[in-house]
Amino acid sequence: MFDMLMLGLNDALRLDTFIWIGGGLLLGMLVGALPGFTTSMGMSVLVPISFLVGDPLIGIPFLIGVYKGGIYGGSVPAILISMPGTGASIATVLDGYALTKKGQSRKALEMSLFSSGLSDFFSDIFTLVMIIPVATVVLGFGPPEIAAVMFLSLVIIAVTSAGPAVKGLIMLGLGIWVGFVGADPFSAMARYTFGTTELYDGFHLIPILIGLFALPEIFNAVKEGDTRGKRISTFVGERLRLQELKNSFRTIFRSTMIGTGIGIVPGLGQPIAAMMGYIAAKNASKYPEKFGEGELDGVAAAESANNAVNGPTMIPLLTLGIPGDSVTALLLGAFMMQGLRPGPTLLESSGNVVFAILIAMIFANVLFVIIGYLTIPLFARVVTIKKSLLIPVTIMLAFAGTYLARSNPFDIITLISFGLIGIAARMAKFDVAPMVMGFILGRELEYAFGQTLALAGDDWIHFAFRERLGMTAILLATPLVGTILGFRMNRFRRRSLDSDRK
Amino acid sequence: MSFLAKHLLTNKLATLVMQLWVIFFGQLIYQESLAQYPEKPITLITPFAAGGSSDLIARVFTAYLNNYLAQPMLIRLVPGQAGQKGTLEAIRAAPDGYTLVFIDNYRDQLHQYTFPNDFYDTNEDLVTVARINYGQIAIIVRETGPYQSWDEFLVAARAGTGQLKMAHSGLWAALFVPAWRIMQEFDLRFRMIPYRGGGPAKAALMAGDVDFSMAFPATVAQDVEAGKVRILATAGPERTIRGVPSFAEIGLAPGTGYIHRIVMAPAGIADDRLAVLRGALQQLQMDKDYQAAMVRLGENLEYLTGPAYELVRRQQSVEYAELVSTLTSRP
Amino acid sequence: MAKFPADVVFVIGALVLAVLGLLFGGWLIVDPPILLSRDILAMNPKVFPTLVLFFILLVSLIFLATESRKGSLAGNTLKEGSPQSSVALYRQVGFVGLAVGCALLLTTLGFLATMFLLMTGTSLLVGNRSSLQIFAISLVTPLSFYMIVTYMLRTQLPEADIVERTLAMIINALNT
Repeated sequence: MFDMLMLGLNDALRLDTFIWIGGGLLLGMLVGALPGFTTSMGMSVLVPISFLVGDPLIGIPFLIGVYKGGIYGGSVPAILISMPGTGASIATVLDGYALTKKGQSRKALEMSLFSSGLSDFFSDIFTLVMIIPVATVVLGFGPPEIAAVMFLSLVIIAVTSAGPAVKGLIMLGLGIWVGFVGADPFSAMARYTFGTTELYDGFHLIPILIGLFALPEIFNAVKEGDTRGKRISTFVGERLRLQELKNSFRTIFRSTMIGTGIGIVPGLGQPIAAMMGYIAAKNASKYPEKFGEGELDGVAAAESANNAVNGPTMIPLLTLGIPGDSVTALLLGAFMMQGLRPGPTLLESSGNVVFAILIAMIFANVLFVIIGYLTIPLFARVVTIKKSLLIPVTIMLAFAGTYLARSNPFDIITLISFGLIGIAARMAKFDVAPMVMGFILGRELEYAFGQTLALAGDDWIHFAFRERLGMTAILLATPLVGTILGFRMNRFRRRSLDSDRK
Repeated sequence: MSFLAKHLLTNKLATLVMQLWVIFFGQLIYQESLAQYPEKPITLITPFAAGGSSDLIARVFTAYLNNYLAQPMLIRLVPGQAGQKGTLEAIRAAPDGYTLVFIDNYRDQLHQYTFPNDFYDTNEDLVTVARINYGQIAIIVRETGPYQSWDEFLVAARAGTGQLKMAHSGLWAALFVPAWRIMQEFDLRFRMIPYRGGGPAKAALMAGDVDFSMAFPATVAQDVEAGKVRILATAGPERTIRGVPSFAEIGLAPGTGYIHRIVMAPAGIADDRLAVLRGALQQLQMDKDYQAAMVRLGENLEYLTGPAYELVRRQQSVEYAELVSTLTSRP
Repeated sequence: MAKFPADVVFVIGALVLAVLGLLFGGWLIVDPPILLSRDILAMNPKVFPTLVLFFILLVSLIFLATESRKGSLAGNTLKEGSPQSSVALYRQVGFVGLAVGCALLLTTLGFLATMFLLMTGTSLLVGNRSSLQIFAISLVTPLSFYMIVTYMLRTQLPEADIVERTLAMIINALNT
């Protein structure tokens, strides 16, 4: 193994590899910044390029560059115009946009970039070093454990949302329910579709995201009426100071661990990592009530968690040939088109290539930070554009991005409807984040729950207490964790209300 | 400027604009009558998830097809429950040869019985352009498991001490249907555990959550080599792997476990345009680079022309009707 | 009539949704056409939605109960900020109408024409009065976006045939 590693190191240090990674990173950032154009869509468009290049040491790192760039790119519209580009940037909007409104968009973007780069760097090293031990752990996570973890995550998200836990739970329930509209995941039977084909495919995440987060801002501008001369912010703000970054190191470290852990389990993904990282940071902070009002730590927590997922998701792919999500599925295809077959023998037969790719990934993070840093002044300028010009462009992006997600014109009606729901939620002081997470996780939870039922068969007791102890342990811990976190959040909320009154 | 002068000027401008407009659009219309199909990109709707084997095969053949068609064929992924969304979209598109769909035989012929809908009937609404290739499924178990051969497996399945669990990739999809056939043929009952695709199903097998599954041999080649997975039988009339019986040998009906990957067009497409598409795909089969790419993917090149595949379709329709009729008769 | 606070109204809405969903679940959720036993079909389509709707019902009732105990059900206890003028309301309704209209016309008129209408309307609603700016931005932005997405990212946007052909002609002419 060690000599493979050395060979890999030798193979990785090529100028053309890095040029292509750089190209992939830049394309990924631009594609990720385009709302509605998800990273996997972008990658699937670019797969033919990687294939035509003919060399796995160029083609694959290129696609990985697109992937990494895309995850960061999604945070750009989230921070600047409150429009999450992908599900991974949900948690980033919460504090990112608030920072922009305070005139600190540049700081927010830089924090997003540096925390993404740092966490990606460390999780890639983890991937390289721990690839073999982790592969055995991965198989231990089956549907019952995944269902339990998702249930726990949902409860945590609901009780720690802005506002009383009860409100969070209602939004969570509504979000999960919205996910039911469409075809049922097991028998493809129509649920709540009223016989229409439009609703048969259910709602898509992008119109819901854009509708709930971006449309209320547009409505506000329309309400104001005369936005000539108004801007989101009159200046991009100063750069991120080193001390500010250092202050967030602990958060970045914590989020990296969370993201890495979540990345290992196939099927969980960046949105959960981002939210968990965010919530963990909020919980650990001395002033959790400040989260959501423009806290740099919030951006750091969300972005480092979601980028930390990138490296470890490759482990089940490389060692077992099992893609955990659509992106790794694409990478699987790209590998195969290059003549490499991910799976148990890949490390033995082409270990030097695998290690070369992983090492290239690590170094790519340096390029990532450099390229990202160069694009920030360009992006940050967006907030200084007059609202009377920016808002029409935003609505166009909202519409176009929504359509691009899956070429369904009905999604635009969804966009508008969720825009109205977003406004209503704001007026009623309900946090929309639990609703979105409920939507994302609800469908997965139902599927995992159904699989668990099928696996358990009739002998529940044996299944829960002999075969799947992990699942049972997590389920039993859930009410406990939920109650503790709920009380803590309540205490902080009361403290902030008291201090407001003083 | 006087009102009259302004008016005249505006009038002259308007007249000029109108003349230019007529010339420009006249040109377009004239060109249209001379137009050769295809004169704009063709959309291939792929109702599969990104990165799956169908998506990859589609990307490979459309990439090389560029050399044989005047315009590129662009893929549009429209995943949706059991492929119905994408199929419906293709059917509703104008049958002008600019929208095609890439599906498989289960979606084409089986789902009319298992997922009946009021919106389309593949037999009436789709016509085959060509079959790109087919895949042959195999039954897989863990190497370290208790079954070393199909016979041992059958004995265990019949023993009835508890249902054997099988990981499949979705109701009435490529892994489910052959298993269903096995249940019919040998009067067995399995516990069917759904997974989101062949990859997770294989993972479940390796983790020990289930007793057996199915897979296309190319996707488990490495696992077999590494001694993790054992193949008990492969689809087809003859053995494709040494020492492993074929489905015909173990007593399954011919055609069990085949997935046919077909390009289809909405019915009503003009004959000459269909001929252009078929011709291009036929020429593609001679392309050495395309052949090499498919081999690299672990796929075969069993191309079949549109008219020939239409016969296969009719046959399958009958087979699947029979298969589904057994469902209502089971207790 | 006492005005309910916004959050109570919202929760009542959720409650009504849950009740309707539970009452009409049988009609709103289709049963599989072929009856499959539990060892074949992992879970009936009605199970999870029923669980979740009960959950929403329960939590909504808890919320309303705690609010009524606090005495905040009646009367407007939440200040929503400065009251809206009716003109602002008309603008917002107009925007919704514009958006819905454009959504419905997207596939008929095509991307460029619809975005032009949408952006022009929105520009006017947010107070822009410079025709040149409005015209320029409503034309250039959708066109650039369309070109990038269609020709560089090779993804389709709905467009009227004639526009697609024209653009293809222009691109071909530029390439040669």
